[in-house]
Amino acid sequence: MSQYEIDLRLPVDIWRKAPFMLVGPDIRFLPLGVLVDSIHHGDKQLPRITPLVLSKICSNGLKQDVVFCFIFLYINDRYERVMLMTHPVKIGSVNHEALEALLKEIFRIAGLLECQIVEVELNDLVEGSVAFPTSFSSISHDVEVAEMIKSDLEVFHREGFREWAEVECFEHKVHELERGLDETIRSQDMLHMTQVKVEDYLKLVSRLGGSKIRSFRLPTWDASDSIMLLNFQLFNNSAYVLRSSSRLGFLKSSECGYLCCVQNLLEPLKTLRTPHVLLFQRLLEAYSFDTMKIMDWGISPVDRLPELLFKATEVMKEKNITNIQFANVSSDQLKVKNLLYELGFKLIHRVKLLRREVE
Amino acid sequence: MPLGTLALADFLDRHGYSTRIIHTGIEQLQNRSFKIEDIFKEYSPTVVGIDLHWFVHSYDAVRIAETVKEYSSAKVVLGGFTASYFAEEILSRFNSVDAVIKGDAEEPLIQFMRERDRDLQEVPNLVYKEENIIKKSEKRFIADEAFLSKLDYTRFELLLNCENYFRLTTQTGDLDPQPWKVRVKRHAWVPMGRGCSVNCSYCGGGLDAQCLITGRDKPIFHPKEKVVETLRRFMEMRIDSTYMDFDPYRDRRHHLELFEMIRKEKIDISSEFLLWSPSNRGFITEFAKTFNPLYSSLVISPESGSEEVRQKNKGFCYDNKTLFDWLNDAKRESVPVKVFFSSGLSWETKENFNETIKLGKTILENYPVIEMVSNPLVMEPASKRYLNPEMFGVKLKWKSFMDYYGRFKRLAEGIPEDSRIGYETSWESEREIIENSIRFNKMVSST
Repeated sequence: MSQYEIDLRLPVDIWRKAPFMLVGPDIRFLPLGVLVDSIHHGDKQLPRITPLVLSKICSNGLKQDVVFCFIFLYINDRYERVMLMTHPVKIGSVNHEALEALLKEIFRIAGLLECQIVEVELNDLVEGSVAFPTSFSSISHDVEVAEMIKSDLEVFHREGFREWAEVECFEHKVHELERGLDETIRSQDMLHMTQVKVEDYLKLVSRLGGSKIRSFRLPTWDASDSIMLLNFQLFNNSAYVLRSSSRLGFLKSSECGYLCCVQNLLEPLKTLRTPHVLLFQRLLEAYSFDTMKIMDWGISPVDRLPELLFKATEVMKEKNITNIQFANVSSDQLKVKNLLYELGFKLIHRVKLLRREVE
Repeated sequence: MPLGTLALADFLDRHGYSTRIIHTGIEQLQNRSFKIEDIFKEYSPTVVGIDLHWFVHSYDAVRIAETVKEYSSAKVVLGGFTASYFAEEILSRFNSVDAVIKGDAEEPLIQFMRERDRDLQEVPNLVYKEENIIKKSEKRFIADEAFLSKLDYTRFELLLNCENYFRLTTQTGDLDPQPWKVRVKRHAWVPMGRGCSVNCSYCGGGLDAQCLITGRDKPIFHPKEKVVETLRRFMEMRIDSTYMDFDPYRDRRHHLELFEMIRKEKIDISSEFLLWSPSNRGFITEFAKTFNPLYSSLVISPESGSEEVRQKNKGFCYDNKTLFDWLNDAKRESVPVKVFFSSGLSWETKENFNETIKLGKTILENYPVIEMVSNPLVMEPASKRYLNPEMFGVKLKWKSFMDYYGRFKRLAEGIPEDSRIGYETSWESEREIIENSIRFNKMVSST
């Protein structure tokens, strides 16, 4: 008989150990202790998010919580059902045995839910305050303070997981970035950044996405399943298109880039001391944020990235933002990364995504 | 399950009487083919206690009593507010019930176990049958604060399938097994006190009802140390959230001292706290400092949007400005709220209820509301309206225990009921009262 047991529960002390927030329809239900968000796949309706606690059964019969994670379901672009496990949070003492027990349960549940793939999202590097969103799921932990298990790839490799993506986030000070940009970029007048509605942004991205160097996204089946969509809906004024005008007045301007940025909701999470920040929209409207994260972007050619960033700094200065984070850069986007480093950005967050098929 | 059931079971157990609590609703959820008679294949009780605290259990309690008598030789004792109020009628109508303990039951139940084959007159608060004659003990027991400090509400191991109890009960105490909802917290109730200091027209637990049923003429608190100890045990049992519903005085020093003690003991738990009237901002600040915010919320029941109707029906009255001041404070302190309303209040017209809808909509649009609902008031035995219907403009449809029993029997058997709420008022018919709440709840879901 296993000395470990799994339970579908979100213990109250996870708020202390790994502060987090949700986006999506559950923002109003979570305080009631229920999660209602679901996905439809085939003929099944399945819970989108499930919290899991692994408990150890002690010799006296009492249970001690050991480790926690969320599992998050999505449908990938091959119409496969994927279970994404968030980086496990330490509650008690976590050893290899406990992690193996957790993974065994994960795969058992994946089998019950008829998932084809299990993925795990690991915070491989955290150097500083990582802005919201910090996950590809709809749950963002404050990864700087979260008491998470060590990102021990060996255990996951032993369990048959293989890396399939590595994604990075970079940070800079807004005024330093602006100062460091070439004068020609700062003084040019042929590029214009226009705010667009989220729906138009998504259509544009869908139309242009393939032709651009762009941010990493989970490959979901359709846009309506996109976690990004949930994030975008938080603030109406978050989506922008970069257009270049022709010097020949009769030619239409062309779209050469786009970005979507969001204020760091983990800041009010700390100061308001609640995971339910999105219930307090009026307070958020008046909140003075320090950091904004560009979480979705595309540019062509890649050399225009400094111009895109310059325009982003103009937007951020209007909102009194002091720090800019540029996220969802795949590790193999070397030109993008080199440009960022040249501009003075620092790497602050790296996420590894691993996957294994369910037998 | 009434909160006191756990303490009763523990009290019996500590006095040497082997005791188990069986929640028949949870057993049926666990096993669809569960039948009450199955219990007697495993247990041979000498006494079966059945709670009839809430009138909604009127039929089920008697049905269980009848099953007990059919499958065992146990004595059957009922307790709880509804049983207490209708004790004589229940005993005269149903041979399956041997006795009813009126009011506080802990000490009387021990005495009953000792005296059940001897002299039942020695058992305080007891109403019983002796050779088909209904008799009442002259002895009285009313728990005081010192006695409350002896009670333990944490012996969940005495409840069969207690793990399911934590998960399957909602905040309102109902069983709510909707599979599409992932229930992610373990929840329990913490006793804070007994009694009330005011009379709301519709409440069967107000000051006068308490005097009538239990003999208690003022509220008493559970000692703070005991509440803290209970919460600590809850935390050790991995209970995430607790419901607190005892707020008999506007002066909340007792609660503030309790909150300070909870913080000092570093107890990490969420709380859903039901306020009987709006608090000041200081209370909300202390509440937010004390409890884990993950599942914490504050609850208030203005009942009506009309200040005039509220003033005529609620014991703790407040105007809408006071309510909005409180809501603003909750918002500033980042505490989510639940707000509850009712239809069917005395002196309430359709126009008054439209004020309720308007108030509800304003609150929903401007404040961090996680739950808002209106329910038609159901006639509660021993409430002011029940005892003085003419004074409150009420025409009773349910007057006796048999009226309540009949209503819930028909519900169980799938027979259309004559009345769903047990009354109508001089201002609105039963149908109108029910429709008002339907209109309100439609507004909530469309906002």
